[in-house]
Amino acid sequence: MTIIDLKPGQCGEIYEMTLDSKIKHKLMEMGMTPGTSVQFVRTAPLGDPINIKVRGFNLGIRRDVAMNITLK
Amino acid sequence: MGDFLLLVPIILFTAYIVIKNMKNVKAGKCSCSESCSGCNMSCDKK
Amino acid sequence: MGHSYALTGNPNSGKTTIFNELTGSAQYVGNWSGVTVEKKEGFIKNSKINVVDLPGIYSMSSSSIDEVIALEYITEENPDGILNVVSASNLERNLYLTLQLMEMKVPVLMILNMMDELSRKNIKLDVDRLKEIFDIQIILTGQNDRKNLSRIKEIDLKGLKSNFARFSYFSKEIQDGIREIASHISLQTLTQYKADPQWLALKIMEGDNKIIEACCAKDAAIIEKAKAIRLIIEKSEGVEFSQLLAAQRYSYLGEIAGQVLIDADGNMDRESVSEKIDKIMTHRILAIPIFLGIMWTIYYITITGLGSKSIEVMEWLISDLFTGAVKALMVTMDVSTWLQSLVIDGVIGGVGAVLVFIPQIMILFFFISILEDSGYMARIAFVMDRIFKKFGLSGKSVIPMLVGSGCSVPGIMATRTLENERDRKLTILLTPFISCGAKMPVYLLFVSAFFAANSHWVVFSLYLLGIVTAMVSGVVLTKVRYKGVESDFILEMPPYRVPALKSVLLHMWDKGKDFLIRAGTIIFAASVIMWFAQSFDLSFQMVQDPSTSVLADFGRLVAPVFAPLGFGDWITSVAFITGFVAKEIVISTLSVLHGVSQGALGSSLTEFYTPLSAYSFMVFVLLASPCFAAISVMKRELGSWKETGFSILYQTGTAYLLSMAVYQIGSLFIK
Ligand SMILES: Nc1nc2c(ncn2[C@@H]2O[C@H](COP(=O)(O)OP(=O)(O)OP(=O)(O)O)[C@@H](O)[C@H]2O)c(=O)[nH]1
Ligand SMILES: [Mg+2]
Repeated sequence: MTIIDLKPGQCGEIYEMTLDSKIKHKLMEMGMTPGTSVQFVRTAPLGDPINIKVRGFNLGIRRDVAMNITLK
Repeated sequence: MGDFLLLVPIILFTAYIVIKNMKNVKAGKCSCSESCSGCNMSCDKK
Repeated sequence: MGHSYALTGNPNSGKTTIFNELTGSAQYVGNWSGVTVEKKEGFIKNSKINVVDLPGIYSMSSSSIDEVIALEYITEENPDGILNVVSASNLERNLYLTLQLMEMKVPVLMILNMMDELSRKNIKLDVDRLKEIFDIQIILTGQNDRKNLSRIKEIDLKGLKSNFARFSYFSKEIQDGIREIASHISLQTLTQYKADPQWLALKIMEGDNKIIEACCAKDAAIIEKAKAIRLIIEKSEGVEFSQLLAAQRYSYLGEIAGQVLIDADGNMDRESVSEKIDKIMTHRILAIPIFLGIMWTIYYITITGLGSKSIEVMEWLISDLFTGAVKALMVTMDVSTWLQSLVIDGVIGGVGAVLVFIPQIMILFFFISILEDSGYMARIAFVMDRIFKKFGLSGKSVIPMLVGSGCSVPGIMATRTLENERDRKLTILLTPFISCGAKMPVYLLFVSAFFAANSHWVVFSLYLLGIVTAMVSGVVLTKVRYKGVESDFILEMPPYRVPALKSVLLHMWDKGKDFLIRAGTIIFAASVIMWFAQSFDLSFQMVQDPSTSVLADFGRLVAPVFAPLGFGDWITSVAFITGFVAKEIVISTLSVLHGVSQGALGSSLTEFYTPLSAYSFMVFVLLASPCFAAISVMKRELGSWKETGFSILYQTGTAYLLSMAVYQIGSLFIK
């Protein structure tokens, strides 16, 4: 299961991010470390990007990134 | 007399502005008020 | 010598707000990440303490130019102390940077900002516990409560010491590694490169090339050793070293947050007002109409709503009141007629033509400022990303363009936050296509003369044309010149905030003042030059009729070039050329060369242009090469004249082709 499999409003816990190391590092430094709870807030009107909430703040990331963030 | 009093400052001021702006552009720096609007982000107001 | 402190913290944590408060300056504040893109210095009021406002950073690693600027300042310029601005409403992530600053063992004073937001969320913060954990002093502040900031003056940061248990949250292997490497760093390195040995050890282990280069490039042994330790750890954990650090730091921060944040009604995740607003603003169907609606409303109010009244008042002030007084004065001073003409037709004519529109420019900036302060900018980027991606750009390019709808100069500067070099260059080239405040007077003059009935629609159509041109150019240029992959899109969406009236008004006044100063300087100078050029012929004889002047000769030389766009007269050609200096000068030129007063300029134009050629005129002004100032900033940001030259040619070429298309195709339908 990944972030985009969540329904709007649902939460999940990050298990692993299979992403290229630059963006992965950036996301981790913003608080998306394994075990962190993420909430899927909503999809942008045109289907991409998506709005998620981690550690109390809102973040926009692209769908192809979200697809590679698996949840526990 | 009135002519002189009016003309000299106008010419001097114009020349000053032209030279100053040429310098700014050449230096690649934009001075806040003289050569661009709304650029208080791009210049150091010391 | 006074001290020098650096203001550091996450983007959008309020550093510039605090900088302004401390120094009394008016640097730009906005509710999105990456407002400040260069360092700004100032002195704390009534003191010798120098503070430096830096771009925001999430951590001690950087991926874009603005972040590099901040990091270099902290690690290389050795400020006497760091004022770490922390947003209390986003504590965990903000403390990540604090943790890294503490690891450096530099003097840190924490400024805990946004306390008001925290209490609005009904969350309590155990400040004493936080002080205890980090063993530092904390200054609490929030909107409308800045009095504690004056304490900064009383604290000597240089003397601050903290016994914070740095590195204690790392696994044993990492801690051992740090100690091991630190013990091997030579004394020579440490005296040369002033840094804490353990921090340096950690950086070498991480493989931070920049720091390694600076401190110990020659010490191959230590680099090898650090690398060996790193590899062992990475192997046993199966995770990249730097990610391991991030994860361990955050798990510690999670603990801290648990200890210091007390949720008064046990419902930390309840939906905030901001999230409710977002439901509408980023709504699946409504989002785009809302965006267009907002932009349309801004133009409607600026042009028709309040604008038309302001023009009447300004025209009366300038043409009747001011010109009359000056004329009377000159007559009593016995000034000769030709000089009277220089003052009245040249100076007042040229400068006045722009001044008439100053109130409208200020109204426009009033709205732009509200947009920027509210937090909506990030939402537009979020909504538009998909479209921009299609056109070879990232949603993040939307922000420079939106800033550019005020003025291209800060818009071009704002591209510094784009991580990808290709995206940045392309956005620099495209931002001037977005209609800026200085182009507004040109539209206003023309729409009031030709399209009085639906003026705001015409201006709005130009605004849209600018956007569309930028996007289509994105596709074209991606194919031919700026190849490569587009960057990642990670965008923080800040909570909506009610714009502070004071800062909105201040911003509006600031921009208005810029235009006033420009009117008094370059526009003044240009009008004088224009007046002389249209009053003399090649043999320096004063001419009766401007159409026999040098300027007219020159204009006629260029005029055929513009004939396909709908205007073959010399005045238009001259106006276009002077437009390179500043966009408002276009109307000063028209005013001086038509030799009529402000009120009459419109009707004088109707003899020269048809509505169609008037539209074509505006299209050219919209898209053609930006003004001097923007070119000069473009050159600085692109770093090469070649790229800059290409941009200018591309923009002017596009302007030419499109306004020709408008005119030629339009002529087929309108007879
Ligand atoms: N509610 C509240 N808002 C604040 C406070 N301080 C700043 N703001 C708002 O937060 C936003 C960001 O402020 P800035 O001062 O531009 O933040 P910055 O840290 O300089 O941001 P960057 O330059 O992007 O790194 C603005 O909209 C401010 O009005 C505060 O104490 N409380
Ligand atoms: Mg700032």
